[in-house]
Amino acid sequence: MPPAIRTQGLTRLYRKAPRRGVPAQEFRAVDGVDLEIQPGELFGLLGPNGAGKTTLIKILCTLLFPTSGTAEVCGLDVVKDCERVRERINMVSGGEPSGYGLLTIREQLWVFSQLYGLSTAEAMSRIDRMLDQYGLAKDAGTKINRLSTGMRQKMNLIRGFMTAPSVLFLDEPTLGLDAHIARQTRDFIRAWMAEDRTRALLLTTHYLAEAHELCDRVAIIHQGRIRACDTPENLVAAHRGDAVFEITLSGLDGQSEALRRDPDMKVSRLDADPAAGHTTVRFSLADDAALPGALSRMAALGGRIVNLSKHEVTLEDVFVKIAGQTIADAEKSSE
Amino acid sequence: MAIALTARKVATAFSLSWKKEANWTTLPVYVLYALARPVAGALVIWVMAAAAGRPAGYLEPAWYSLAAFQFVPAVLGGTSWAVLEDRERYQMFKYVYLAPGSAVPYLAGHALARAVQALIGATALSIAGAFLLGLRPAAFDPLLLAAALALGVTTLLFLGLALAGVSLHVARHGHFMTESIGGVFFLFSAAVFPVDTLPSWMRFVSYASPVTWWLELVRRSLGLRFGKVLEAVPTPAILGILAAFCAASVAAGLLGWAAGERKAKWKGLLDATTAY
Amino acid sequence: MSSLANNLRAARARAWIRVVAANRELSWVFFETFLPAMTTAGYVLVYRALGAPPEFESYVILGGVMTAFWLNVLWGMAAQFFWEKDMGNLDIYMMAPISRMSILLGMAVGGMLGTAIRSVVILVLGIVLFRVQFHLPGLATAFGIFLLAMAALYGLGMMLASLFLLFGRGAQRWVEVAQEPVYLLSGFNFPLASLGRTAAALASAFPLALGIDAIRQTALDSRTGFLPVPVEAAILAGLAVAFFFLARFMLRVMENRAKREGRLTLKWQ
Ligand SMILES: Nc1ncnc2c1ncn2[C@@H]1O[C@H](COP(=O)(O)OP(=O)(O)O)[C@@H](O)[C@H]1O
Ligand SMILES: [Mg+2]
Repeated sequence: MPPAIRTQGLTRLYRKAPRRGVPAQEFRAVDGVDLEIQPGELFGLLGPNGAGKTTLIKILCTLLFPTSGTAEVCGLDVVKDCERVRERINMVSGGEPSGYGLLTIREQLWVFSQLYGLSTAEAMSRIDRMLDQYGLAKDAGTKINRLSTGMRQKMNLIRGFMTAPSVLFLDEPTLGLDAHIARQTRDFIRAWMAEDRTRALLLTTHYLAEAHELCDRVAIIHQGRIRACDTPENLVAAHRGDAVFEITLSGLDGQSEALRRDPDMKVSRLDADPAAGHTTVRFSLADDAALPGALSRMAALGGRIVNLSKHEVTLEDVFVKIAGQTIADAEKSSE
Repeated sequence: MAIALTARKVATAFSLSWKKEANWTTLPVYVLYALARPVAGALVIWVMAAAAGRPAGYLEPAWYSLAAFQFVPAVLGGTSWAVLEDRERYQMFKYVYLAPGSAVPYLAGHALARAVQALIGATALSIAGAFLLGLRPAAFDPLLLAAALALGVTTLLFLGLALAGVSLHVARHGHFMTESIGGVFFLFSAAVFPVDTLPSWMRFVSYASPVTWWLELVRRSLGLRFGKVLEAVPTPAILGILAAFCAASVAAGLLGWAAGERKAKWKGLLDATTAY
Repeated sequence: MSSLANNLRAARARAWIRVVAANRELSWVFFETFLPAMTTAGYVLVYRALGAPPEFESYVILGGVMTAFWLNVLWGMAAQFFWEKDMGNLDIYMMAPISRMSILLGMAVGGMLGTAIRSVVILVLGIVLFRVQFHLPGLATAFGIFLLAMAALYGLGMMLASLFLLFGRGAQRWVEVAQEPVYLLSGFNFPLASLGRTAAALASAFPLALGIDAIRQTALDSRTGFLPVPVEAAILAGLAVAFFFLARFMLRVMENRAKREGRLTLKWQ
């Protein structure tokens, strides 16, 4: 069986329109991506906003040409063989509205099933089963006009699952969902994968904990490049030696950003709470011995310790280390 | 304070609408676009007259009536189109709606942008008629024409507002809607034929339409006559009738929009999408 | 062969949306059938004012009937691709294993419900109010011509639709611009021959022009035809075939260009 997805040197340039004084520029949304995903794998693509996740998915879904490099889905080239690729895939993009306001959820799903050659009987039985399984059955007659975010997202996901594609792409499937529905969604994804061991699923997210819980393997993408690719356990294990601390300080008085420039600390989270006068910082150090030095530099900024604790390394800490930036920083710099 | 806010809203909406209308291309192409519709419409009338042997006394009044008629679908439809486009396509009508103050100035700005576009077409048709086709108006009373335009555009704008209130409640009909509302006035206001041609029951409907009187006033300002029926009414009376219609339409527009809007909020239609 | 079945299934589903949604929201009956008949009646009265012979009034009625189909092509099909893009449905259609033409066909057929009713309203109006007299022996031929003209017209519509894969508002504006000059060029309101030979010949590239002309010659027994009916029918058939292949070609070219430029699913452009 060929790999579910294989890309080699996949690159996509976008042209940025010229603005006053700035000539037209090209920039790399996806940059030399090599990936191989096997049938049966639940693969996570992690990265901040603007990392190039959606662009990569669009290329794999035959909605966008790559600028260079190759991409295959089920052994078929996404450019040359796009029609046969389409028979094997489906894609759901989180948070995006779709459908026709005057139709109901059930009708809308039937319409989309008809694009995949399903007979009406087969389509309806799949749709009803999934509506039931995903806790949407009672809303099946609600018009698309009137959906809540959670209902809309569930409908979108069923649209992808119901055609039983060999490779399913989910772009930010839990975007904007509450904790309960996000959990239902993860359960639904796992159940669908368990139904058929030859299915492959590529999902993108910037919720790192979710990826850790759900995915067999993850790749960290940043500024269009794959920075690491392994099982979440291995990624975390490789950094187990790191010392991760969380400290709450008072008395920093707006100087908290200075902590990011500390030579030893890799800051993965920094929450300033001006109302309480507190700043909470999560950071990693090469080893415990570096802690006293870091603490004295904090004291020099005027910080007094309210709370200090040591933590297990998480995927987020690994991401910070690999990308050299925190997710939040990357989002800022991409704006 | 409130006036300044209103004025700023109108101006913003005007420029936003103008951008939506015009910034997809260069100015010359835009002008070509703005002219294609009125010119084609006028040529249809021209060829029809030619096919019927060009009876005397028809083309002059018909031509300038048609020029003025450009405002009807544009201004009348400008508001409801703004509602539909913002709600369905850009899905941002709810933000317009929840901004401080009323949505009326926002909609009015859109209608005014369309009025400018109609003005381009009407001017071009008039110039072409007078100087290229030899359809000379018998007189020219700029003051009367300006008064007619001001009253007419205001009336249309507020009627359009009432229509926008309705359009919150219908599924997206896009261009069909503007086109068809224009069609009603085309027929019942005797846009390009004299009121005399209408069967008598329709004639009474036409008296109830402000557009009938408005077009007649425009023709008067150019010294043109179209049929005999309206001839008996003196110009000041027409001005009065039109002013009364204008006042009524302001009331009808504000009330109609408010009612439509309130009902839409009740039914949750302000951010609905209905296209199919 | 199964791919043909799948494409027809997809077209049926797209048409079904139109029919069901139209049934749920009946305001279109007023806006799209009753009101447009007013414009047609207006043009009939123009001929009355001009003192033209009564057969000219029948010409207008027939033109009004055909307008509905032209508008369905423009707004119900071509520009609809643009709406689908903004509503988030275009990506779903584009990545499905079906031809783009089946979606367009579905829109066209689904929109036929409205257009058919609109045409019937105008026809009835013409017969009852304006006493249009049909030439009964010519009706069968007229219907055949109508089908040919529709095939060519919807092919043209698919060509226009392809523009919306790449362009957004710009394409919409051109479609808007096309609307009324086409009323002029296809002689909705007057005999095609009144345009003069050259203009009429040029207008013949647009399927409704010859379609309407031939239908007038057959269904109304009009003597003001531009070309003999068999010639017009042959040209229409040629146009239908040519537009079909051109549309397929343009849909592919535009899709590929849009995928290269990253604009296929770019919203609100
Ligand atoms: N059609 C496009 N044209 C130009 N730039 C684009 C286009 N689509 C995305 N981009 C840019 O490419 C970069 C990557 O975007 P995207 O793939 O959507 O990132 P992600 O999904 O990881 O948030 C962003 O900087 C975005 O602005
Ligand atoms: Mg994305």
